[in-house]
Amino acid sequence: MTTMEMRVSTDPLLQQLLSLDWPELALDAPSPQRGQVWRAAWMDDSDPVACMVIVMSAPVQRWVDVVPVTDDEIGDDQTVRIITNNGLALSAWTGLRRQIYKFTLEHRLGDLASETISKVELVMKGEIAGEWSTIASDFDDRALARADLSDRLEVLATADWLPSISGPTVQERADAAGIPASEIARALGIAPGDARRLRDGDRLPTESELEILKGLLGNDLATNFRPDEDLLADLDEPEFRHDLQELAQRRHHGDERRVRIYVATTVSAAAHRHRDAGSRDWKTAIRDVLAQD
Amino acid sequence: MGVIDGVRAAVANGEIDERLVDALRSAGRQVTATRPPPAGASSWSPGDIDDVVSQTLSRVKPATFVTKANGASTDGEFFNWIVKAVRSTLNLQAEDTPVGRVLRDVKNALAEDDRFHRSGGRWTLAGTENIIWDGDKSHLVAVADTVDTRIIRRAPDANKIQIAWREDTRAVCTAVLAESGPLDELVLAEVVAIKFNAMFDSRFGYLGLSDLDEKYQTALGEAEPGTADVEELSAAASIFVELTEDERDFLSRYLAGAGLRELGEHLSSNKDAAKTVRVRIEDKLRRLAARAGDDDGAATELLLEMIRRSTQVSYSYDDHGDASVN
Repeated sequence: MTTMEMRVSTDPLLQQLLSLDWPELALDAPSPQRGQVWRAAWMDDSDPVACMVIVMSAPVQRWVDVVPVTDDEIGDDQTVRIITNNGLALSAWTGLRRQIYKFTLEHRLGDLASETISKVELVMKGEIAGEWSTIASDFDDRALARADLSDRLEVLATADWLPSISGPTVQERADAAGIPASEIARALGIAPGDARRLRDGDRLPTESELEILKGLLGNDLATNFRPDEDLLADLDEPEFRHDLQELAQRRHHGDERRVRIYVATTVSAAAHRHRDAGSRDWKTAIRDVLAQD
Repeated sequence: MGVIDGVRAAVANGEIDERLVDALRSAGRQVTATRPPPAGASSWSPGDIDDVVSQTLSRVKPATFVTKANGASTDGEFFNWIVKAVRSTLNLQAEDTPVGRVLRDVKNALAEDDRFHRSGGRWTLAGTENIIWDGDKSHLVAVADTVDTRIIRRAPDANKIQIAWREDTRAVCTAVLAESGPLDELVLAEVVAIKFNAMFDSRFGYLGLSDLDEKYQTALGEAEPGTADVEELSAAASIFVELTEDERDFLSRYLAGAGLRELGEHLSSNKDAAKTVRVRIEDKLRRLAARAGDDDGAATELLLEMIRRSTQVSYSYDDHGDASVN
C-alpha cells in the first residue's frame, strides 16, 4: 500500500475530500480562442500575480484581448454572471476588458457557450445592463475587488519578458566610437559574424560578454536584442509554456524570463546560420531547442 | 503548520490530496486559537477541529476551491481564503453570521410597515400573494441592486451591527417581494445581505470582536461606561471591526517597521488597490480620532496594538510567496 493509500484509508477528512464532486477542468494549453476561460499568471518584479480571464478574440501577435473573471458574487454595473461548460460559476467584469501579453496565459479552465460569450459582449458594449449596481465610492467594498483586478491585469499587460531598451545600445556606442565589429569580436573572442549579430541586436550578450562590452563601450550599456516579431509571437504561445517552465526549473533557477531569452537567442542564432530562402518555421525551431535541453 | 507549499497549484490543477486536507487543518487551528472551545471542553481537540473542517467541506462547493486556487497568485493568498472559509463556518455555528444578523434587521424593519406580512416563515408584500417565485436567487439579487440605498458604517458593537437604514431595507424588500411573491425569510435575508454587502464579511476578511486578543475582549466587557479609557477602547474596537484584511495588512506593515517612507511609496503607488486602501484608511483613522476625542494619537496606537495582537494574521507574499508563478 502506498503512503497516500494508507493515509486515505485512515484519514476520514481525506476520504470526505476525495468523495466530493470535483469539476473537470480542461488544464490544457491550446491556441487561445474566443470564449475560453484561462488562468493567466506572471511576475510583478519578484511577486507572482494571477488572474482568471475570458479570451474575447483570437490573439494578434503577442497580445490577447481578455475580460477578467472572479468567482465571487460581486460585480458592478458592467459585470455579468456566467457559467462555463464544466460548471464554474464566475463573474465577468467587462468594464475591465484589456489586452494582455499572450505568454501570461497558463492553462485553460473551460469554455463558454456561444450564447454566453455573446451575452458578455452585449454587456461590454452597454447594450444590456450588468447585474450589479454602480460602484460609486471607494467606501463600497466592491471598489477593493475591482481595484485588485485592475492591478493584476496591469501586470499581465505590461510585464514583458524581453529586456527593455533604456540607455545607449551596443550599436549606438560602437558607431559613435568608431569601433568595428571585428574589434568587438577580438575583445570577446568570438567570430566576426557573431560580433555583427551582437552589435546589431540579433542576439543578447552573455553576462561575461556584457562585462567586457561595458569596459569597452561604457557602463550604462543597454541591451538591444530584438528577435523576429513572428518568433516572439510563436514563442509566446501557451503551448510552449509548460516546457519553458520545466526548463526554467532545471537550468535557470526557475526564472521564466531568462529561459525565454535563452530560447529566443538560441533560435535566432541558429536562424542566422542557416540562410535558406523562404519563411522560417519558428515553432519547429523552438521545439528543437526545448528538446535538446 | 501554516501555509502548505504547493497547495494552490495542486488544487488549481485538480490534484486533490493530503495537501488540501493539511491546509484546511492548519487553517482550523489558526481560526480556533481565539475562539472558545466546544461546550464542556477545556481546549480545541484535533477531532473538534476536524469537525469544523468537515462542515466547511460540506458548506463550500468543490468548484469554489478550484476557482479560488486558479484565481490566487500564491499559496499564501489561497491559504488566506481557506482561513476565511473556515472562520465563516465557525461564525455560522455561533449564529453570528451576516445572514443571522440580517434576519433580525429585516424582521425589525418590515414589522413597522403594514404592507408586509410574515407567516409560516415567509414574508409577503400585500398584493403579490399570487406570484410564485421561480427559485432564481441571482435574479432577486439583481432586482435588489436596482434600488438606490445609502452606504452605512459598521456600528461600534459588531454584535449589534446595523446593516442598513430601515427605510432602505424596506425599499429593497418591496422590490424583491414584488418580483418573487411570498418568499422564505432566510432567502429574503440572504438577498438583503448581499445587497448591503453584509456577505462580504468573509470576502474582504472583516473580523469581529471575538477576534480581538482576550485582553481587549475582557477589557471591553469590564470597562466602566463614560470613562476616557472606555471611549478610547470602544472607538478603537469599532474601527478594528471596520478594517478589511488589506487595510489590516497595510497597518501591519507599519507596525513591522516599514517606516513612513516605505509606506508613503506604497501609498503613492499608482496601483489602484493601494490608492483605494489609502482613501479608506485615512477615513477610518479620521473617524477614530473623532470618536475617541483623540488629540494625542493614543486611540490610533491602541488600534495598532489590537491589530498586532490579533491572531488572525494574513500571510503576505513575502512570507510564503511561491518562487515562480506555479
